[in-house]
Amino acid sequence: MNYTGNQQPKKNSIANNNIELTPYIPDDELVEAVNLAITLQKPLLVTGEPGCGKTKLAYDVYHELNCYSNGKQFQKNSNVYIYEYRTHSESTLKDAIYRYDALKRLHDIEEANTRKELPENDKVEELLNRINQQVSTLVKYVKKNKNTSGKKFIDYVEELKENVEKFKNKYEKLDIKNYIDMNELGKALNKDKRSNDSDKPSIVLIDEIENAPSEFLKDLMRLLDVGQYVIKETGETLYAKNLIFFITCNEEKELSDAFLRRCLFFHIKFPDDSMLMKILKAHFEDKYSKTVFEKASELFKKYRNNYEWIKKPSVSELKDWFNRLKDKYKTDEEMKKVLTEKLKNNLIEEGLILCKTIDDFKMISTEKM
Amino acid sequence: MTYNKISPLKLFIELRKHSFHLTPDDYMVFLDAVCKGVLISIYHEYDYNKAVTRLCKALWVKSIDNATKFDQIIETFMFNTERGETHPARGEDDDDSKKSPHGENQTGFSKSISVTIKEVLKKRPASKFSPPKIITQRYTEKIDLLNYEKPPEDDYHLYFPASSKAVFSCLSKLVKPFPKKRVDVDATIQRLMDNGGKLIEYCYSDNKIQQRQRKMCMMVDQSRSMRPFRVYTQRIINVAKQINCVSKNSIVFFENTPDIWIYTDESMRKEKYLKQFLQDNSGTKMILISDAGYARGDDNEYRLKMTRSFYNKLKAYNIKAIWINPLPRTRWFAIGMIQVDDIVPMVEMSEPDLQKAVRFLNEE
Repeated sequence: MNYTGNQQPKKNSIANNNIELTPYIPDDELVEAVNLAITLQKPLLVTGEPGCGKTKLAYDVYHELNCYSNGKQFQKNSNVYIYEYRTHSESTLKDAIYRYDALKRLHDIEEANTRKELPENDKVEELLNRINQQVSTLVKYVKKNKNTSGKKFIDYVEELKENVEKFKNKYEKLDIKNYIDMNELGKALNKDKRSNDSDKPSIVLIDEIENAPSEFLKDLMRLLDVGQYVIKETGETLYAKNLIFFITCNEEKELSDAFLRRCLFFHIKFPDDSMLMKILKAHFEDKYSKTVFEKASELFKKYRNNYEWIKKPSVSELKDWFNRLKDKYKTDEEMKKVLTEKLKNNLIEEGLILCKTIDDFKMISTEKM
Repeated sequence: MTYNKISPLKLFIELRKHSFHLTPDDYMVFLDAVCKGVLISIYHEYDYNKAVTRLCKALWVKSIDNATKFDQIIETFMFNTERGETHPARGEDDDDSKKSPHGENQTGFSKSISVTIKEVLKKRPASKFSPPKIITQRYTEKIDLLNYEKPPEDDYHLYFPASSKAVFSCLSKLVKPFPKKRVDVDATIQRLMDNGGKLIEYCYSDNKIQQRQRKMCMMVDQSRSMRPFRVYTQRIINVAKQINCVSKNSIVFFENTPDIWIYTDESMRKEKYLKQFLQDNSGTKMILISDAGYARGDDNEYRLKMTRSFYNKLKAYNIKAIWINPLPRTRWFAIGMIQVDDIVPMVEMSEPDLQKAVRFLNEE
């Protein structure tokens, strides 16, 4: 099982969590890093400027492992799943794995008590005594009336069964297991310890880990080390087997050495000209010629390097910008003409779409449009 | 040119010498990867040396700073490996008879120069900080090309300005951890009574202790020769502010040498008497950031005199100072200015040197 980065998803294909899959062009080093992470079963920490495609990488790996094997497409999609968990300032590992709704359970017990569906604790004994009496009467009845028809006998047993079932159901509904909702990470963990290596892996994406508090990282480190997690409420153990972890980080926070030690690290750099062209081509291949992509990537790189941006436009901005141009200039000829002219005269075309801060907006507004 | 395979273990040791926080576990991960056939399956396109370095980079590099550092180290390491030479470990004996990294190429001229400079260095009073003993042939050759005076081999080493994470871990040792907040019961009861029985906020009793922790000051050279190093100086200032070891008022700026006036803002508009500043910070520790004129090769007596008089002032006000120089140590010797190092203990901005600086400042 390895990742090549060459398989692009078809249009409108979606992942198991209903997120749309888009083309993704990784460079060689990134492909190597992903394969190393898969082989060594180590989480891959991916950093890079916002919009460089850290999250998309996990979805691309999911797509390829789900649909292809060594470059050949499966006839049916294999059962590879992706689970995405987005951290926030109050994230805990417990939240990422499961949520125990104690309040709902309390409410249900209260409700059952007010409807008198449940016998109170002191009445449970009374009920069980009654069942015992019924059973002993039944035994006596069977002994005495051996020759009578079995109808009465069957009714009696049925009544007894019903009583016991009702009693059981009311308590089972309030069983603690029914109030535990598995979250994304919990769904990815296995309940069975004996998962084979040949089993299809699950991909776990922990997004924007810089937002998570240090306790989350510590607990995650523990999970990665031990490979199992115990649900306190039920005592059930979940196993982290056959998982490919992708952890993304926006460079805003420096992670601890202890955490970094457990991961493989990869920084996604801004792509070079040829990569930019490949990215544009992968997204808008059917519409324009190679020259248009060349000019567009050249022009975009020029915008990116020649101005002092507060937030430098990244690959996602490139796609937005080209989409805007696509709406404006529908034919290949029009597009070619505009891009060449703008490139020649150092003019900005639809530059405002690249702005993400007020200062950038002011800077671009004052330039020639 | 002979072709030698690089030794991953030697590379591992070399990286550790250059402040890569690698543990034996990291080496085990490398071995694990090799056992799992990674070199064959993933790096089959490259030759052995390139495959090993790419694998090591993928496994051992954990930050962007380290990635650049790794590339530089690997360049030198590969160069030496291909020539069939090994790096002598740091701390090995400084023996004249030992084979130099130049090997047979070393000329009589460079030998004689190296001997003369060693004699000069023996005569000068011992510096408080011994330079790291890492020899890299490439550096030596580059300096020869630029017609610098050839300094002793032991004083050459790769220089990497400390990353903000490294600066943070070093400077944070200057600040003792804050004591836990203690609730002042009497003051809290009083506040409770004042507010008519409503408790709005607890009163804590450690305010004075917190202020005492912050007693440190910083002087930063803002002269033109320091402009290229602004990123590094700013890094130290930001980290110092972040960990609260200096207050905003105790960071001042000067040009070339601190004389009568210093400035409280970076643009050097708000003046302040140096004497006043030293008085306010008497008995504290000081971090001084300046290139000491090394960047321009400014070797003048006047500057040395001014530095000496400034150091006397520091002594008078009982201020313990350390001088952080953003230039690599090799450059100090290349220009032939080592005098300032003798007046004030001076370190470069690399992580090991910053650690030494912190140890020096923390000494009672």
